[in-house]
Amino acid sequence: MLEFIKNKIIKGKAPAMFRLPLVYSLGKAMVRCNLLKFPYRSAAMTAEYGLGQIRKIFKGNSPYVWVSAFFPTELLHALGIVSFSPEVISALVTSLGFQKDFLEEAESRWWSRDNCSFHRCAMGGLFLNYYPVPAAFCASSHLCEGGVFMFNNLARHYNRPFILLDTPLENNANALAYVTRQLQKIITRLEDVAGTRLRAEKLEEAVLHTEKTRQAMLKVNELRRHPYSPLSSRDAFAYLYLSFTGLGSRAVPVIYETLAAELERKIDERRNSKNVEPLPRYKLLWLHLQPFYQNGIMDYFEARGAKLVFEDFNHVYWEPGDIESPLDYIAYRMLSHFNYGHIERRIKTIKELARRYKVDGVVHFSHWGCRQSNGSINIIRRSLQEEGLPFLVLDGDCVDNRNYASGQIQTRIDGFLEMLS
Amino acid sequence: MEEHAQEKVFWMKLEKEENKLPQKKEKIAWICSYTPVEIISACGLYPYRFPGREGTSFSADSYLHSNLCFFARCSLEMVLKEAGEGKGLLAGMVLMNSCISMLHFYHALEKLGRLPFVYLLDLPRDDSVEARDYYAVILRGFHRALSEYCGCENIESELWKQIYLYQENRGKLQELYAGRDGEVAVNGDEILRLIKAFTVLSPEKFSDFFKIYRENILGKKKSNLSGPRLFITGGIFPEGLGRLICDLGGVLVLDDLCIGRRMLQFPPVEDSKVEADPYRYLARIYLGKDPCPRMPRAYEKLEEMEKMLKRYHIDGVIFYYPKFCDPWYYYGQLLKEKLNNIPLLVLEGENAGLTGQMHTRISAFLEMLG
Ligand code: SF4
Ligand code: SF4
Repeated sequence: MLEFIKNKIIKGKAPAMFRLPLVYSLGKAMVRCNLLKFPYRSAAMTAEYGLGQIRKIFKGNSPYVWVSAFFPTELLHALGIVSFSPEVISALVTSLGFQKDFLEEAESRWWSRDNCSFHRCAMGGLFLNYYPVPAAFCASSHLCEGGVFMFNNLARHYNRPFILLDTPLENNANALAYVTRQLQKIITRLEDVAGTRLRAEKLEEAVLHTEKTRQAMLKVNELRRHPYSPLSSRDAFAYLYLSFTGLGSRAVPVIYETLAAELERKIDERRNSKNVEPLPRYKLLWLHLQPFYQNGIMDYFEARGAKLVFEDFNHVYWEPGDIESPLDYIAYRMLSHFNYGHIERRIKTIKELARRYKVDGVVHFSHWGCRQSNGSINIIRRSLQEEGLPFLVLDGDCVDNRNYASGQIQTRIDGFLEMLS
Repeated sequence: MEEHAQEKVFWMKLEKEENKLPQKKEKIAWICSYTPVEIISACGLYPYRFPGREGTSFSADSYLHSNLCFFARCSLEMVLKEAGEGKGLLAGMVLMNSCISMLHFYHALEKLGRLPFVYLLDLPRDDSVEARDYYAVILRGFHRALSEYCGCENIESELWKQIYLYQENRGKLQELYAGRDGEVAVNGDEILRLIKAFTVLSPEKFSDFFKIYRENILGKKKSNLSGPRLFITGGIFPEGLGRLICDLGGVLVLDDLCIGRRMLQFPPVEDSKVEADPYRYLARIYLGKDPCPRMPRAYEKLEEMEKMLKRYHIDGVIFYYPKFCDPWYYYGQLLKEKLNNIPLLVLEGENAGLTGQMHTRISAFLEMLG
């Protein structure tokens, strides 16, 4: 199947094929009938949810927008606008092995290999007509500055509205007021995109779903602390799509609840099993994203007795808020992101996660082109070293595998694990 | 001949005055054109634009990642060097959250703890009412923190005085940009040089120098410059690039640089609209000034760019961006897309210096423009 699709892409026929909603209906049916295998039922539900969203985009009945990671998607769900995350789609395209053409398309239009490849890949796909031009480009200036610029460029290129949530650095009353007032304005602009007015109860409902998601994610994260928890970072990355575009959706808390139930059951099974499974020699915390092409890095860790027990991107970073004031809830959530603002926030969270998951070391995948995650990496290293927390930086690229050298990465992993022993 | 000698003396004197500055311990270094220098002056300190356009980033690279622009890395290097040599000649540094590189630079400075005062101002990306309200609070907080640090009283009347002084000086410099759609007697590099003086001298000192310049130099300029008429835009470029372009025969008619005209392009002052609160006033004028590409508003200007360049009879555009600088990189892409009828030379800076390659490419470009 995959080879068939790849051949289509190479022959340049795929755009037409990928725009057929039927393809996604078929995909959903295959997931539901277990024709496509997933390690967890909740992962299959995630795929089904994702395919459903993409199907809506290609069906063209619902307005659709591009959103950067951390844009307040509750507003979109409340208005019935479908969101498309270019970063997630780049990861997906990469996992299917199609990224090369997309990257080259962006590069042929001036973008260089020094720009984030998630963005190059997403733009390339749009330029090549793999996705329809969205009704608007919605970004928040959280963390990823490149995303803001890319969305702005594309909006100007395609003559579509650029909707920006300017996210302040601090989390205080002044910042909250600024975000809340912007959200009010953004709602008006999104109402134009949706062609309908936002109903208060819909927004309340969306925020309630986010709160339920928060609680379910906390359950999952708590279960992952268990020594018998089977969920490693490799599988957990599949759920990131949900927190990037799904906050506010009814489906998402259900998926996390399902995952929690599955984990609970699997932990019990392992605990009660007669064949005692060996526990990993080392437990590690993964920072930032992983490469999405075939790479074997996670396998290599596992083969060497190390398990990636948690990844910072799945950390639940916001405290419960007042769901009766939906905009305040959203603003507070936005300003609470641990990777944003002062570097101390990020360092504090890493240390907390390291303690909570009792890890032996921390691994940072330094995605070339990501200035936000890499910029202060040496400062993080120094801080963790002061705590006696071993820290490994793996330089690479999550999407662009043209320079991937497995041997070098393995040597670095070997050196790190030797140091831990 | 006498004219020439007078000019030479002026520039020498100016340089001498600027060179005295590094010896002043009350300097507060700043980088971004959005820095509210009026507040620094109102605290009795010297706002001093940090010259991170020189040198290498050898030691700084162990703090800042190599995929950040050289400008942030070289600036850190300079701080490390100065602190390392025990000069301690900076009272502090004020940074804006103007881009991700500056944010990381701030983290490094703060962690290093080599400077007694390090402050980061969060800068909105918009000039909406909400953004101004937000920024006014930020500015007030900055004034409070700096006053506490230097032990001065936070007096609003002094702040107004500085606001007017800076405004006046900006107005004077802006005069130099007037009428440049016709014949040009002052090459753009000379204006950039004066703007540099404006960013390092105290407003009073600058005003004195400008008076001399206007009377003894500007007033006596007669000859109109000939050569390809150029517009230059882009990020902070290496010291000497403007000079090089002029030496190679280009006439820098206009710029869109944060070391140039963007330091001056503030909304016009209408006395009736001046807010009673100086922070609200500052918030409005800084957020309303000619935007840099960090602000989405900057892209609006691109739509009108060709028209504007035609009005100034521009023969060619030079765009400079520092490697790893996303704001200028993305802007450059659209600039290329929008400029269809005017030749464009794109220069990428890998480090803080001028390179032989730049020399060659500029010469070839000017030759092509004839
Ligand atoms: S990897 Fe970094 S630069 Fe790329 S999309 Fe993510 S946050 Fe942005
Ligand atoms: S705007 Fe560009 S050149 Fe200036 S500090 Fe930021 S990244 Fe560096």
